[in-house]
Amino acid sequence: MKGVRLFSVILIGLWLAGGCQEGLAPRLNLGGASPDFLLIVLSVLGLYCKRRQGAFLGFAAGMIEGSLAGANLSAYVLTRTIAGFACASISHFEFEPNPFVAGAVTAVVTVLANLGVMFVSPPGAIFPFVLATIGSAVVNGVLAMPLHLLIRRLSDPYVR
Amino acid sequence: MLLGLCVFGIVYGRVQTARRVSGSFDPVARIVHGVSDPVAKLSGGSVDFLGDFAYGLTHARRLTLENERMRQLLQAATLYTEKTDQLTQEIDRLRGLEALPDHKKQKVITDIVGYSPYENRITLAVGSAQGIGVGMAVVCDQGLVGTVQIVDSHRCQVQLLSSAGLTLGALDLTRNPPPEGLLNGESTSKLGLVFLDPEAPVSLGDQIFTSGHSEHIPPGILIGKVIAVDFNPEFGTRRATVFPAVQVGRIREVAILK
Repeated sequence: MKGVRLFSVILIGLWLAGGCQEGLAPRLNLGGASPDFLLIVLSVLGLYCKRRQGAFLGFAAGMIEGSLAGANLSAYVLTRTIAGFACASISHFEFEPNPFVAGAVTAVVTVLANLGVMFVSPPGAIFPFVLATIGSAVVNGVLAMPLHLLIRRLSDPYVR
Repeated sequence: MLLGLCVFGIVYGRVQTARRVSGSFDPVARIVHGVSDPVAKLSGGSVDFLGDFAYGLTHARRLTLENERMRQLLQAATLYTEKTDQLTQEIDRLRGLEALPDHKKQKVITDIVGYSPYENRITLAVGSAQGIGVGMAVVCDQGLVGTVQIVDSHRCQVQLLSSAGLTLGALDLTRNPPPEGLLNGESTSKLGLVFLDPEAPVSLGDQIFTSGHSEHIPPGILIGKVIAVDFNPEFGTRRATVFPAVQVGRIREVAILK
């Protein structure tokens, strides 16, 4: 997936993810762990981006998430920009991304990004935050798999 | 480039914090909220709908039973309110009867157990066993109802004021000296009062009371209000139409003065 199609998918993906993050994520809270739709979109789409594109994608996701959260915008922008850059770097390795890789990458990115937020802007209670991060990582990893299949179908409609 | 984005993020974070401290959103947050709000509402609403739908499916039986129970409770509450209102009204009426002046006679308070509007009669649940006798006055808190006509051991019938067969003496106590006359029933909303003095100074709105020229009916019980006055020059009589103070259909209890 390249050029205008990638840009369109990123734009729509971030828009939908932002909306879902605001309206859906709080309702899908399971024991403190709720999905982070922006991180899911960032991780899955990052696999299809070049490093520069990945960094911009992460920057945009961080801006949106920080704006929606209403606090710690710097922490979100920093962690998401680096995460986007890192996801795009993975695509440089010679392997075909599959749903399991996308799920695993998303889970790892979720843990690292949230730990980054924790270091830049430490929360009041560390232990519950870490537990919630691990829960979110699992949920995000699971949700990333169908999203990856959808993105792959969009990038190449003839893939079976 | 990565460093540039990070530096921009940190700088803009400070801008956001400054705006937040001053109580406003930064421009990016405003745009992000404006753009994502429709999706947020749609997605949140959809999840709520699906959640409600799933809850309805899994708890259908319980919800139906709960709904039924709530309806029954509502019905019971409505009936309870109606019953309470009825009892409150009954208490008010009984208090009114208790507060009636006794006119130097003993009051026997009783329920109306039958009402025959076309016969101009009511039946009461007391009789000779309670000391009730023919001709005794029957009153309520609004005024005179009628007189006892037939007495059984535990039951009696009262001839209402509206009956044409009932004649009693009446006074217009609004005037001084009060003109006197004879009162006869005409209909449930009209009584005829013929004054003994053709020059009696009667006018509309005057209140008519019992005269007391009777063994059983004490003086000063309200009968009604004058709503029309006629003068018949041929017979030399002054006649007033009186609207009865008591509307029998609306009362449930009365007092007999024995």
